[in-house]
Amino acid sequence: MSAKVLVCRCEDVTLDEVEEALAGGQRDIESVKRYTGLGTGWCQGKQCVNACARIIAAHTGAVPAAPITPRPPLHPIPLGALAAMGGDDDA
Amino acid sequence: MATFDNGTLVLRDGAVTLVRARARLFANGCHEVVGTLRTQRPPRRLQRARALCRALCHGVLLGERVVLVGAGAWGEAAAQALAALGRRATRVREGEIVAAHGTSAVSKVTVREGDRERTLPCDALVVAEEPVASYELAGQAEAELGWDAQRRCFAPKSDDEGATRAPGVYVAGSLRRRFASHLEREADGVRVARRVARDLGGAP
Repeated sequence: MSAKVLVCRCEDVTLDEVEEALAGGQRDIESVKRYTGLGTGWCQGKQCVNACARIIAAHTGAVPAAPITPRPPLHPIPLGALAAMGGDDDA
Repeated sequence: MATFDNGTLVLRDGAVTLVRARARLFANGCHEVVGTLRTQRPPRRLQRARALCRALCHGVLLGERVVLVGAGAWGEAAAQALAALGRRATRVREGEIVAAHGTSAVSKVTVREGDRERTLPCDALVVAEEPVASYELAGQAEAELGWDAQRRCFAPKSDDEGATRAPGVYVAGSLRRRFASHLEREADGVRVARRVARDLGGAP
């Protein structure tokens, strides 16, 4: 059986690496992120943060406290679109 | 596409505009979650209910012995789709499956039952996990996020009418909780929209 089960597809972080982080004393998503790089890639954790929370819950028995801070933009956009940004559009 | 400076950045026709509004209602639903099943990722392991639907639409028949992971509406829909093709699936709940085995194709899965493990021979493994809330935008708008134990995912916290603790920020639909049907989800959207209208001083 392969040990390489990807949790974070963007940054290639495996289940073994997350479990190693937990064994090393990390107990929350932010700490696991800093230890492994999970959630820091293209999707900014949209795919992996919940999976990581479930793994932490399974290992610690604790309810996950909070996800990593979601950063804008929601999806990658061309820099040109931002550079050409217009003024406010009051609604 | 993002919340920024108490407004919402909108990408429209290739141009970005900052929209400021007195109320922001997020109803951007769910996205899929990565499964962490230990497996060699053999063929015939369909990770998504969506992939199953696509396969069925293209006339791809699954194997004779199907193991289906996933309870709830998504698992039920997958089971019904399989039944329509004459395939009877062995249902397994999330968390019970330990591993999938096989080289060129999946041949068996290991399932945990209490303190024991048992092996189910199969030639197709379908994982139909419930999607998780797309909480990111609401979180950027400073809605408080919490753990939804029912769906095992993070979601914005809100009252019964979708109002969050962040002023002028509302959430509706499957972003905020699980619903049993599309009709219930739609009704929730109407309920939250009425709340927004009321808070803005309009007709309830």
